[in-house]
Amino acid sequence: MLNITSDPRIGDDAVNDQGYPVQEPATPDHIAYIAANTNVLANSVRRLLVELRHTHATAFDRPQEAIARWSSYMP
Amino acid sequence: MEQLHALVGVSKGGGSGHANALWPYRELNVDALFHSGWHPVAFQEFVLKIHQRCNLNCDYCYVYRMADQSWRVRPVTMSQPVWTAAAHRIAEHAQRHGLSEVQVILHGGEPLLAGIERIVNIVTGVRAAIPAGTTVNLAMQTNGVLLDQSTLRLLLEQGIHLGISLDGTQENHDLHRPHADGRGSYVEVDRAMRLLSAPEHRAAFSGILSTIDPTTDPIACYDALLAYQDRTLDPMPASDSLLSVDFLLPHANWSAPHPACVKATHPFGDWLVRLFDRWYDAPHQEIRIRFFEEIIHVVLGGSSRSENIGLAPATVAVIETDGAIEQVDALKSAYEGAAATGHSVFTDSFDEVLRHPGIVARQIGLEALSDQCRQCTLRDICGGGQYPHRYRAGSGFRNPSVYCADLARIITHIRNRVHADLRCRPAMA
Repeated sequence: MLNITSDPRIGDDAVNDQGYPVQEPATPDHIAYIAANTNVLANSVRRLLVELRHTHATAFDRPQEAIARWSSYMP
Repeated sequence: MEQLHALVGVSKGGGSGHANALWPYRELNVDALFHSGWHPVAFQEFVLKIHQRCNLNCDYCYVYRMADQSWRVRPVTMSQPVWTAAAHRIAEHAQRHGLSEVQVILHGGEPLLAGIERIVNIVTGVRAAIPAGTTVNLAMQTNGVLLDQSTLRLLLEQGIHLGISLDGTQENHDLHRPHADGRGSYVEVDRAMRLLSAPEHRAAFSGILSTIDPTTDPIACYDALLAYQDRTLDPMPASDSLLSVDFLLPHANWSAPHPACVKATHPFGDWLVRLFDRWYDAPHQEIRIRFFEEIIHVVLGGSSRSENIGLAPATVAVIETDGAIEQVDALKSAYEGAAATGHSVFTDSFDEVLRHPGIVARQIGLEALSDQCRQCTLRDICGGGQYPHRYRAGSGFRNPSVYCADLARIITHIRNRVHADLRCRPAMA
């Protein structure tokens, strides 16, 4: 994951000062709020949680190799 | 991997057909990689080029309109000996590597030109050859022109999932995807989309591939595709039942850049930013857009499952109508023979193909990136961009993507938006 506090400003950062609000970090309340939603971010967080559950499975589970599962041949 | 990088730089492998690409064909030492303990990842996706011709004349097509013209000398259709040999090679590979599932994609040209009888025979042959412990997921990417009710029924009976190529609005689609006589194809594709979008067919519909034209309105494109999202059953369906769309950059490289990129700094990035905001700001997710979802997933700390995002190994092999085993055929946009490996299903196993420099270069992640990419803070998300887009005549494929500025624009925009939302405390009830 990128370190957003120290990464140099390039791309969108360099051409466009977005000014998105930077407020307090996520809290359990915030996570619950995200989980209760059906927007893109909420669905993305849910997908991440599923992946983390798989990658932190028990020692008896077969580890999942990270591969590019989707090529450009199919949507 | 740092140790592997030190081994790179010794000439080995490739062949005279790849004289235009120092990397990987002269500069990647495959033997040294294997001796160091590195091992490739088995192929898991097999693209069968079952028909070599197309009934459309798309202006950006990498098969007919770009550098490689090998379609002219290959058999028009895949014959029974070829698909039988291909099926047995896939089965051999699945068995040797203990693969629990493989993807087999029927592709072209236009695969429906092969005829439904041949398609059924191919699918039956592949299924019969694959060992019992391996699931075969069958899919077909089609332009949709020949898809009618009876063809669709037969394809669904074979368990084939279908993807459609559709470029947004009718005006844009007809401009870029006409018939050979110049007639637009939108009306026929729209008919196919309505068939596939029906609730009874929805489960077999994989979604839409849409190639970007940066001179168009991305919101109009989005709205045109959104119209196919089936809302008859549930106005807010779960994300895994949403219409899936992937937006593709037209193939280009440093020796043949896209005309729009000559006139502007990052026209595709700007187009994608507008599209992303429209999609991301919807109160409920309306459709799936794989390119964006994968970037968000990697920004959040996950692993990309797309060959176009991140550094995960690519595991796709292409079988041409003559039985040649090739690399991803978008490489045909680079130079004549760019996708070739010199291997064939009649003489070689897929394990032998896994030693080909072009395949190895797609599986060593960071080590295959240019120095500029390796020093970039976005490298783990962008992954250097699509492999064919890194090509420059002479040096080959160890360059940033020709769409580097566009990728930086959209990735940093998505990263900033996601991070801002994660930091923003919501107003709790």
